[in-house]
Amino acid sequence: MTRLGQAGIGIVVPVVFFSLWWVLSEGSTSPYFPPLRRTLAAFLEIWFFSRFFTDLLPSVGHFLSGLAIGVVAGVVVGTLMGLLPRFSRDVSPMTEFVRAIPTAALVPLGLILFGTGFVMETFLISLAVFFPILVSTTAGVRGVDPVYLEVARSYGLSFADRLWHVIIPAAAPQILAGCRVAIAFGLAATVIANMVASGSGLGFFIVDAQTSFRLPDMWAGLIMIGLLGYLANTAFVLVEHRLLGWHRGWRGATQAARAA
Amino acid sequence: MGSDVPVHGSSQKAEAPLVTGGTQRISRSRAGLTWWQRFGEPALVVLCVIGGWELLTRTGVLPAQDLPPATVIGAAFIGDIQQLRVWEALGATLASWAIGLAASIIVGIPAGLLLGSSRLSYLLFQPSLEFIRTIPSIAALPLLILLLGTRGLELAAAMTFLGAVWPIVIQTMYGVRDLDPTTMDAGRAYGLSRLQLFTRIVLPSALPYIATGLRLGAVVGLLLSVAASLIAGGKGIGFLIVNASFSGVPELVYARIVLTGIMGLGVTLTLVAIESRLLFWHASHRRAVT
Amino acid sequence: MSGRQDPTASARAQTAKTPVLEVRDLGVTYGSGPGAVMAIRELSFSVDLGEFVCIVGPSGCGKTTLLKSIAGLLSPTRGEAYVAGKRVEGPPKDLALVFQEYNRSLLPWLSVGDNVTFPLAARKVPKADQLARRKAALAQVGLLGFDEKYPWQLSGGMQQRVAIARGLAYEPAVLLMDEPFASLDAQSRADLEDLVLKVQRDTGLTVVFVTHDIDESVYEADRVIVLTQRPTTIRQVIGVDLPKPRDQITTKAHPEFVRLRTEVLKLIKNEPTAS
Repeated sequence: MTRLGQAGIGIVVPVVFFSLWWVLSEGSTSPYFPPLRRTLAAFLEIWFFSRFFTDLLPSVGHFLSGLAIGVVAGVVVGTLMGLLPRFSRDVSPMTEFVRAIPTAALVPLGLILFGTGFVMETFLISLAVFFPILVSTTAGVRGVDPVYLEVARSYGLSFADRLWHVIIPAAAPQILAGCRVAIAFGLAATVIANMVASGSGLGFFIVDAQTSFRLPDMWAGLIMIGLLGYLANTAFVLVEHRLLGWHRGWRGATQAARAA
Repeated sequence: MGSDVPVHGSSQKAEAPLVTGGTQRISRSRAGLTWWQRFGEPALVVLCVIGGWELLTRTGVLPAQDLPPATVIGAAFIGDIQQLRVWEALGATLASWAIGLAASIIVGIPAGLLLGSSRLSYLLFQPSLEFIRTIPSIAALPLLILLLGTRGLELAAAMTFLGAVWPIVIQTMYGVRDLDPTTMDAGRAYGLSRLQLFTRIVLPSALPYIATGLRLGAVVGLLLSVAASLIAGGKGIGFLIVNASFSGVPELVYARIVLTGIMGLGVTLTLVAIESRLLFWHASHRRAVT
Repeated sequence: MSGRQDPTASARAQTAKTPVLEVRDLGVTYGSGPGAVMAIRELSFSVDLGEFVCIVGPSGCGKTTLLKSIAGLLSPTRGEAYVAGKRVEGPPKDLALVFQEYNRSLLPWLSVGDNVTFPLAARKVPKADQLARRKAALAQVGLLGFDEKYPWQLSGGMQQRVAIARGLAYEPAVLLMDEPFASLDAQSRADLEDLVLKVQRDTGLTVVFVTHDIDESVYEADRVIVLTQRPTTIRQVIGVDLPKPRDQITTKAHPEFVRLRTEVLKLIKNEPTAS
């Protein structure tokens, strides 16, 4: 079965699903499930015109900012925790506790500290992104094969060199796996952050559409959020594919050798 | 949440040539951790942080309006947990979470087993499922508010279900697909019936994947259960947090967030304990192989 | 590097009197107090420029510990090691180490070529220089043209050759090899034994080769140092006067070879096995 053939089969279910949705909703009288035709019309109108700058762009901006901050902070702290067991032991109780707080519960906190707007939302998103990256970076750094480090030491590499040339590349697969989770959590935080008290943003938009009973708009918002999730994930997968080509090959070879 | 990429193993040779790093101080590196190192020092660090918080907020370095001193939060916390309605709210959140999770298990595992059992169904559904997985479940909240209302536990339970079912289905599906064909051949060679093959070989080997799916689903589900009551109102602890913020008592907001965190921690630790007990044989197997 | 007859300038600068590697009164004890384990009691020996010295011993003796001490990865409890006249206090500049686990000593995210020049890149050696040394080293081990491949795409024997090339590109005074062929199949082992001899012939490199394979030790060496069981000291040093170049068939059939290996085997067999 070729890759193209597999992709072809994969498309079948979505196509069938959307076709059914279209057809079944066409004559719909239920207010909750408007015809797909109307939803799509609303989708185009809203996201490409009226709400693009007021809601879509700010939310995307918050997401990207929060992602950047959270990833950098997560990698830095995670590396420290991976390299320094004592630091990790001392700081873990606090990080584990904050990590256990559901993102939504932190929204009122963000509102108290920062009010509404860019700072609050970015703060929340960074937090949501930070923890999965922290966990996976720590694990990745701790799991670096000691032989790599011995090799580097035997050739006289300084600590900084070992960190940059050995530890980070070796931990990269796990760090990137954490990024995947972080993107999902970050996007959810982006939506949640303005569902409560904001005046703009994706989350605000769909809640507002719902309370104003503008159903096609609500559906359009839902689809847009789904689309953003899909795009973010796809972008990530492409990046990961390029960066970790070596990892796939290495794992395949290592597993084959073990099975032999 | 935990990644599934395995951690590199340690040397397996008894004579371990040049494997361990660092200038050897064998006595230190091989000795276990003392009580102080494991509990005492971390506890001390936490106390220092709380003490620092208290100091900074009392002296006005940090705005005490937005950041109440630790002792004030502590007092609010203690007062709050004596209220019945707080426990009712926690109970509501946990109950809807449990219901939603149970539903997602009942639906998700069989669905995953089914979808993973044939190559065709895997190829048909895996891309769509992975696509759905990328959609933040929170986006469905407004729709569910309209369909289910905010009064009872249904909303939070439905949100939990929505968040938990996808990881469970997908992981179960992967678990079935990742079966070692050699093991299956061995089973068939010994004349096991289809049912026996399923229960004795397929299911046990898929168990670690299913466990991962459950763990992911449970965590996401709890997140959504709290979010539901926070955003839409209703009986859960989320609503009480919002309530506190409207009443203009910031320390109560903090206290209830701390309470939610404790709940989250409790749930996670319980899940980890259950998983390690059920899979202790598999977990150690995992470590030896990778 | 190709066609050169002698190793690093620092080694060349030495007089014939100063050995390129010297181990004096080396002792290593793990732990302290009643639980202390003395891995190495006392080791003293020296290796001259261009020599090929093999170190053998019963399993459990401190072969690995000794190598780690010489390579500066371990601080001995007593005594010291000197490489190219300088005391070892951390990984010495003039020394390259070839590890036993070839599949874990090559970095999987780097191509073969990048792996070979990895130590040079980290030390900011100029690019042109790096590429020249890479090419020469790969040619020495017979892997010219494999630059772009990844280590995990190669067989075990080829991976070990890459590791050797990495050591050669580094242009050390001494090449330390820690049971490098122990994890390979017999055919690869034979090929690589000959490869190391050829490289040493071509470059005049000094090689210290640790192995548990007695035949291999006699086949490769100019001198064989036989170690005792823990706490380790030198049991005996045996000179190997077999004709060169060595050959897998004729050398191993040579009566002197048989006599030497029997002698080494007897020395080792008389040692108690590791507890």
